[in-house]
Amino acid sequence: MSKTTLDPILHVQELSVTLGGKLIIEDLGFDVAPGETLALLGGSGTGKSVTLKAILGLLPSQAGTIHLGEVELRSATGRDAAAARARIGMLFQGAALFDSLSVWENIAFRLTQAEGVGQKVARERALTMLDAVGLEPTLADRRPADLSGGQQKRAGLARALAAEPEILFFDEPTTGLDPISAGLIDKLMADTVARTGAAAVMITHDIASVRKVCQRVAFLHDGTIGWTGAVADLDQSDFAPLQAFLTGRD
Amino acid sequence: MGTSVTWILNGLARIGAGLLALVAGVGARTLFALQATWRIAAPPFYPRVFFGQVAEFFYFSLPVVGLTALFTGMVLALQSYTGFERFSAEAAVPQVVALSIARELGPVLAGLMVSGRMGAAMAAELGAMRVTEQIDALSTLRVDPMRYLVAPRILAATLSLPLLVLAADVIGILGGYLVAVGQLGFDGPLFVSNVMRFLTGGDLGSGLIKAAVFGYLIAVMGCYHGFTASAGAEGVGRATTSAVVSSAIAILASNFLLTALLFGIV
Repeated sequence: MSKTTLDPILHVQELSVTLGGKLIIEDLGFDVAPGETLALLGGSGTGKSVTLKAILGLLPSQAGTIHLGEVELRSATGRDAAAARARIGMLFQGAALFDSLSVWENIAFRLTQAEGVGQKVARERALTMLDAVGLEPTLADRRPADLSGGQQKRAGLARALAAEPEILFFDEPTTGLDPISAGLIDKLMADTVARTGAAAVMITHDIASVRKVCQRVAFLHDGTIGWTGAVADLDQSDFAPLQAFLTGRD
Repeated sequence: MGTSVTWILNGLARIGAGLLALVAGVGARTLFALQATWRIAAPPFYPRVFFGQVAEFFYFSLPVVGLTALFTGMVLALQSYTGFERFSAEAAVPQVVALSIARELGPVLAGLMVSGRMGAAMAAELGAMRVTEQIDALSTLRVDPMRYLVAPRILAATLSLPLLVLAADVIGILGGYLVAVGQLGFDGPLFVSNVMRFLTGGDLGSGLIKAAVFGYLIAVMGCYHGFTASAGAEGVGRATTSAVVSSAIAILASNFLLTALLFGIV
């Protein structure tokens, strides 16, 4: 395990989210430092995706603090919050590429639509990002529907990386992929974090992927963090729900 | 006795819950419309999305709206001729066709056809984007989804439907002309001169104002139901149905109010 000595860039404390009158997560806390990848593990419906969406401001949160560097996101408003959240890049579970745009337009979307970068420069940047995620430049003008699942995930990663984020969220990056494509995505994520020094949070059910990509694990149980520790300590944990999750037995 | 009281109270509770849901639904749609409308006026603007939607609303809707108007004009000429024949008023057919198409049938039928075509398409497209997290992805890429997806659609619909109705007016009157001249023995130049003499700018203008309002309502309903879609493919299907039904109701209800206002009846 490579232990980081840097201060956390993302620090979540006592976060609570209620949706439709139902408490989804309560008093949840974790942090992640630059160059580190934290796995957010837990059974289906334990609130992993909700946690990431609450940090991104896509879902409302009712209590707690979310520090991104010096900025507290829950109390920040308007442009301050938007500017802080712009430091986060997200790879969605299904890649969430825009169907109506070409692959390069997807990758360069933030540059062209939010940052006013010209088409020519944006396309060059998109081609560089395609190369960085191991996709052929010939795919640049295709539509997302023409790509395989693994290629879509890589294009989604390229889009998340195009604006050089300091924090990366990976939402079930290997779900639905064959073992070879999943292995490629794992390697890509690990290499990206190592190369850019970004902090990363990965939601997954894929323990093999966790062992390859992550240094630490936070296990969600009953809407909060039930166990946290190093990946190397996973198997020695005496937290029964985590062992049940790892072994697939009640 | 106790059972009767319980039955009445339960009935009242259901009615109350239904009314509250109705008010909440209207409130949610109104708030959504205001948020989107405010964004039409403030930059950044997305002209590519806007012109794409104009093409969808006007160019690609023209065949279906044109056909609807053509057959409506033809039927109107036949119906008014057979009706007016009873009291020897057949000569009024051109005026009736023109007035009915320009004031009422052009905007309402075009609105209903476009709500079926574009209202459903918008709800399905935005609903699919919602359930595949593409709308969330927009937010993470520093683009406001309301500004990028909804505002251009509302503006495009509001501006395109009057153009479409203008075309429908011409095609509808042409349909009446074809039947009147070709089948009922009307004199062609006289038909045209009657239409031109009788139809005022106010008649056309009222239809175009209605069309703009209908376009706005179609886009708001389509976008609202797509934007709030959930629960996968079933949710998208439900959103599409709701968009068509609610925009059709909104068109018919607002048509009554607009007619009363525009012609000074209230």
